[in-house]
Amino acid sequence: MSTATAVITSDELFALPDADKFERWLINGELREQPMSLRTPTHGRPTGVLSYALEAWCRTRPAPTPMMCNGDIYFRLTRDPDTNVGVDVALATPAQVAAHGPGDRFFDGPPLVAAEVLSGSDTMDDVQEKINAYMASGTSLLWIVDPFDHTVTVYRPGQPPVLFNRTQDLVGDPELPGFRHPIADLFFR
Amino acid sequence: MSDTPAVTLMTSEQLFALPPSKKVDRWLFRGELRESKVTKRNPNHTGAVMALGRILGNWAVEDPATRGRVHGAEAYFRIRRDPETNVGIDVALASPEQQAAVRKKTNYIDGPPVLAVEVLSPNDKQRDIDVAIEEYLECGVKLVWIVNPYTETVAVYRADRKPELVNADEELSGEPFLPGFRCPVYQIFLG
Repeated sequence: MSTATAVITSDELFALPDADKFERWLINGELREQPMSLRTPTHGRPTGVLSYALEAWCRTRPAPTPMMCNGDIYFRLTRDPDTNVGVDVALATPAQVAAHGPGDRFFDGPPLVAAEVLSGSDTMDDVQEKINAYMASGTSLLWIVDPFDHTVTVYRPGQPPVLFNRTQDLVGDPELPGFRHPIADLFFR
Repeated sequence: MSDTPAVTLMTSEQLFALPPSKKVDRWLFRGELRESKVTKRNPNHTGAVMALGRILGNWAVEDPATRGRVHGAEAYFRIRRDPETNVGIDVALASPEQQAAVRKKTNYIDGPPVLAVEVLSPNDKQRDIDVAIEEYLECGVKLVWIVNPYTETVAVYRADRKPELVNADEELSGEPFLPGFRCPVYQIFLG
């Protein structure tokens, strides 16, 4: 991981070369960079199942509905300096969707819900820094999915984290009324 | 027919015969030498290790004949033989039997500790932590605590249960392996 001390903007982030070789994000304008991690079923299966479950939930909601998106979709959590992160699975608010113009590289503001699936190469520092950024920006609900332990740790601003294991359901109330999915179902192995 | 040459497995004796280094930590994982840069001297790490060492130590000395002895600062435990896994553990509880086998020249304690505690550091990779937990449990460690100074939580792993998380508002216990032990989690992170 390389960290530059210089502060850059979101536009500068997306203008960096070799975007296919690196995972990059901004924390308070500072670049964070990791070599692109291998795509594996261990990571991809929980991403897929959560996407499916969240999309299904969105379709039960009255308009205007949030929109599920996945695959490192960027949300600029805070600005000036920018904190801009790619999220594994997220719900964008109807306002964010409406404001997203052609050619935009990110949604502005925190997602309604963010889910991050841990990779073996993730460092504690990077994970914790992102959790702090999500919470500081007012993300209502953050799910940290551990495909090795088969657990989901739930973060809400101002509250201690709570861990759920594969004998339990992931429940989205009150932020996602009626959302429920068995945690054991999320994982590949 | 395999092209790969036979791997020579390293023993604990060979591990401790290597010239000591202040720059790298060394250990054995199933007979293979592992090294990583020393990164554990940050105050969040050292403070949590000392706090738990003290709290666990106070509990153990009440009855060392049944409770055993607390070790800190990455004491080596040979938790697996054939091939050998010999690792330094941040804080560990050696059983009375393990303690009785320690001599003045002993480099490591034989067998898995009752309790293994690892305090997370900024550069720890997720997969290294996962591998450590898995190896500890497979080798017979009864209780594994992963202490996270960032979130002020302790994740508890046991062979017979799903993982649990204890946060700063809650109390850590070790039943039935640490009878009578109680620790309000916030005390690990005080100061």
